[in-house]
Amino acid sequence: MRRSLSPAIVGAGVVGLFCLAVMIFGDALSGHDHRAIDLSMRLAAPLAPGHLLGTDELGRDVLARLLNGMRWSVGSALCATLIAFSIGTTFGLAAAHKGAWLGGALKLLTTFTQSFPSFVMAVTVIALLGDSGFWAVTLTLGLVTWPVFSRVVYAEASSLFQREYVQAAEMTGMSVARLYAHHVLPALVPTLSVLVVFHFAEMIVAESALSFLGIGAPLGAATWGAMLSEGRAFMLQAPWLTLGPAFAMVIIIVAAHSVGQHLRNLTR
Amino acid sequence: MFSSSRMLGGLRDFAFVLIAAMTVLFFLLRLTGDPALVIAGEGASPAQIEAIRVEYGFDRSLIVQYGQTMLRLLQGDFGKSLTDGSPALGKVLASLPATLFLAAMALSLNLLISLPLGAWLGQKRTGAARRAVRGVLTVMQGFPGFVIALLLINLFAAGLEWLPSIGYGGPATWVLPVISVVSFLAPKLIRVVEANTHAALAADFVRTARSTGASENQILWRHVLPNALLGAVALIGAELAFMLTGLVVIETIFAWPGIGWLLVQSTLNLDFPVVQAVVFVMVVSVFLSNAVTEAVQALLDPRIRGRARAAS
Repeated sequence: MRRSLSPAIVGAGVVGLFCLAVMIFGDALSGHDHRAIDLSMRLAAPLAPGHLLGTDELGRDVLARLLNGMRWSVGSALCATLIAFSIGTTFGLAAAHKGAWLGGALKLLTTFTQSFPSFVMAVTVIALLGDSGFWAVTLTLGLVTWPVFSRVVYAEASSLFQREYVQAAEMTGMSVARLYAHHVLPALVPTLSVLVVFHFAEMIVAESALSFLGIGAPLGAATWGAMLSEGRAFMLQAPWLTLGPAFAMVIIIVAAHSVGQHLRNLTR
Repeated sequence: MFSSSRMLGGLRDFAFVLIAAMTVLFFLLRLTGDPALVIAGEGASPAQIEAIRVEYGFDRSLIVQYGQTMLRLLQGDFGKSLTDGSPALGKVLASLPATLFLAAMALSLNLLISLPLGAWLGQKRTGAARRAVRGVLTVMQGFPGFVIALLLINLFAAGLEWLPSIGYGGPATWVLPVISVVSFLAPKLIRVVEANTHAALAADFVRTARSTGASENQILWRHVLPNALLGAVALIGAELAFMLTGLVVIETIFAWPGIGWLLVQSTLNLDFPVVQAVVFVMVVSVFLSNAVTEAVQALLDPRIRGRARAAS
């Protein structure tokens, strides 16, 4: 087992702390309001006085909009992951413990999600709801992706219940709650933590793709997906409008991946 | 090759998924809005809306409507598009070739790049060149497909003006969409081929082959690569299934008239019959692609063939 800290994990930690700061302070960190329009400073290039990452076609500060988008995307992805994790783990655990019919239901559900991809489902649900807002997107993403967790938890927990030490504990009359708390849940932590981190990265992509298509965030909101979509019209004059959100997204995803990879190596 | 019980199980799952998907869609569509209002369009009088409600049967109870819809779907009747009145299923089938074409080209290029590169990476753990390639792959895995697409358009279509940025025409319009899809899918496949090659090199059968005096080249081509490929078939199948459904955003960016693009257009227009038909066609294509993947696995791997026989 390697205990030394790789540069990748230190970088991921820095990104994580930055995320936390943005979650708390939002666009205030940039010194601008992300909605403030300044028509005298339209499409200013990065490093323009007062605008580190430049401005957009209405003279709004790109950094402020990026930070606001980060708050939205990271917040939505975190909550969606938490929802998927909670439902999926609960369902998986319940099915693993003598839940014959739940196990069968889970198998069918897995077949279902494999042929009816969750992103397609999310697009359809949100577009048809016609309600675009933070919770509409977050809840939908969480509710359509939880089978990922239940599948893994079910498989691992079922095999745990076949192990001798768990069966022995069960035979001594240990209550189901204690059985889960002492023998099942701790054994699931390594797999689950890796899964959570990778799922978070996927949710960032899904949320941004939805707002890019114009079905996620409300019209005019400063989210990464919406910024990418608006920036397309100015690709030639102002490439920083698309490059900013693109690289912000990539940095978060790479950071999440390296945390996941690190956790995976730790538990091997 | 397949036992009949396995095939029956597959068909039963398929039927279940189709029915479940159509049921979920039906209730979503009915619960989220009044379809009569959509059909009537803006500015319709209450009498007109009422007439449409009766004409389409929306005035009956939800359960009756559900039964009728499912019966109609069973007969292959998906209804007509609400935007232009053409048959919904026909509309979807007309846009399927574009998606299949993109998937076929991306799959071929993906295999051409990933298999040799993965095998090369898997041969050794060390070396500056290999480490550099691995670093690039790690970063590339952080790029969502649609972000790559936007960056490529930024560079080649807007900046350098070498290639058209959108549309579905001659070979020049294929380049950017195919590269976007491949640069998103290839890193995963490369890593799997790499891991499998590495594992196969350490396996007992390679040691045995080496002890019989086989050359390193023979070992690589005859023993290691076939086994590494075998492990990659499942992922290739999953990537194919993904391309048949998951290219929603990339098709939209390039205005590529496939079923992903059609899904977005029809959901935004609240064109329910077309949404239903798109999802139907997607579920069927994923099922077929999974069936082909399993067949290929069984064809290549005597162990899976044996297991299928033992199970029957």
